Amino acid sequence: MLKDITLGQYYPAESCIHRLDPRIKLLAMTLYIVIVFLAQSLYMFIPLAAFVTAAILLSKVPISYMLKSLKPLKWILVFMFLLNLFLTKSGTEILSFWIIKLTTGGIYKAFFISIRLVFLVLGTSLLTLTTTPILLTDGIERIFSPLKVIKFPAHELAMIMTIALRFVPTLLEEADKIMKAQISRGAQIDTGSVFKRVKAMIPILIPLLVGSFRRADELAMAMESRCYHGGEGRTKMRVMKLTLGDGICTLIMISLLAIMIILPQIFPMLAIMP
Amino acid sequence: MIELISVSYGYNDSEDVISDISLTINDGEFLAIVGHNGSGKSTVAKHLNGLLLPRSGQVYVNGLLTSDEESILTIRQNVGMVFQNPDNQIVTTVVEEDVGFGPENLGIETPKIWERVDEALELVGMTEFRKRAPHMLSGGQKQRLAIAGVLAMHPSIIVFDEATAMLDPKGREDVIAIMKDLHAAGKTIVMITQHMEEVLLSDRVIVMNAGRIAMDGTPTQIFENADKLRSMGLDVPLPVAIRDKLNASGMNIPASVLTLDSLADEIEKRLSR
Repeated sequence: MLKDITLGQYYPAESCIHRLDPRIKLLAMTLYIVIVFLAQSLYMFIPLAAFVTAAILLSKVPISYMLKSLKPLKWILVFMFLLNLFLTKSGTEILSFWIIKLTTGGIYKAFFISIRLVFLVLGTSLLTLTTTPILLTDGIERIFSPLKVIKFPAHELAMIMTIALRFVPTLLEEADKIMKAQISRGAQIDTGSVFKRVKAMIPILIPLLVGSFRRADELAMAMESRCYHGGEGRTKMRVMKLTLGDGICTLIMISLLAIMIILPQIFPMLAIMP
Repeated sequence: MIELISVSYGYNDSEDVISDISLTINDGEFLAIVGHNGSGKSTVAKHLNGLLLPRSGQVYVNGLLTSDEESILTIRQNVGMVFQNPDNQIVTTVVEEDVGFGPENLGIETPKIWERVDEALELVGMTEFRKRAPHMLSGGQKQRLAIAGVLAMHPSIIVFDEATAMLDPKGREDVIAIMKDLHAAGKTIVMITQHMEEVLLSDRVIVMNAGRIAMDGTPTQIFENADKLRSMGLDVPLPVAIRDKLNASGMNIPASVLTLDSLADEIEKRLSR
């Protein structure tokens, strides 16, 4: 059961977005976050929406799959919506009783903030949906590798992430086994109050923790046996080469940034919140 | 060739786990090291590629000293090691990338790494699983992957440290078949094991007891001393036990009979007479 979990949320497909260099995708995502925060009014979301829609369609990731990434966010969304709805006091008053005041500015702001959050999540999910964790790690290592001059441990960081990804399913499987062993000895894990259940987790977590130290020790020995000696003098199986697609992606991102900066300059009313 | 010269080792300040081990492992040999739990056999194995350094004595691998930091990478490239738990020796999340881990560490150029990966996966029969995630494999497949990872470094000596201990019968059979193939292809094989049946594969056996070498000889010579083996907590393979019982009751089966098939042949020969 636990064996079948997918790591991260990678959606395997053949698309031009999948094929982009992970470094370019990481940088594009960073730029995208900046762009989302540049939008200062609902109108400014229109070019952004066009961009995100196009990117999703190009990625061949089903819309339903995309929307799933929003699911864990639903309570934060509701909370932020209500908070902004009732705490913003600008524009004309629509409704008022006791201390609660509903204003047009509040409604606008609530929608604005919620939509912005949706944009942020959709854009960043597109990165993890179209890039395998291992490529992502590789991309991060390569982006940060110039920082090695100031002793930034880019390779070590990437190695830690790789090993963590590698051992998540293994440890889940082990947790499952320990859980079953404890249940068969009469441990009650699923019943009782929250306190009781948390307490019941201790006999599962401790063997898991001890076991993971043993694993770490053995893995270190196996890695040393295979001549691991840090990132120095190490070659890579995968060579990353920038292609035409990466150039086009960069161009599109820069144009989008330019549009988002220039548009409010030409049409000042686009930038103003009512 | 590996030479251990009166090697002793102990953890921290405690007593020696192994003491005064002198042993030469020749090129092309299939050596089995057996012993009861705590006899020090795994400790000896970890000295063969410098994972442990002797407290006293020296270990030479093809003339290079394991305690010499400059030669440690050459030594480890030359002496591959496969461990007991297949899960704890796979580093990355895709089969083929894990095989490439060793060559990457050695600084091999990229196209050559792929050649080595293809070749190693083919040798252990894992080519069809190359794009899989390791956690989706069975124990035997994981161990074959671990062997491929070692083979991709092009070692001349491969140490199997109880590599079949955690596998099901099918997985064990596969790993043993690979060991045989590698030996036939000219690799030196060192097999640490508790399974006396596996010992029959080797052409030389070292029996360890309480941190020392107790016996050294061919499987035939070793199994002539069933009583001595039992006194060290080791058993003999079933055909050998049957042979000894038959001999005790007057049959004269030669000591070279170690397998079930050859034992059956001998009994048949006597019955048809």
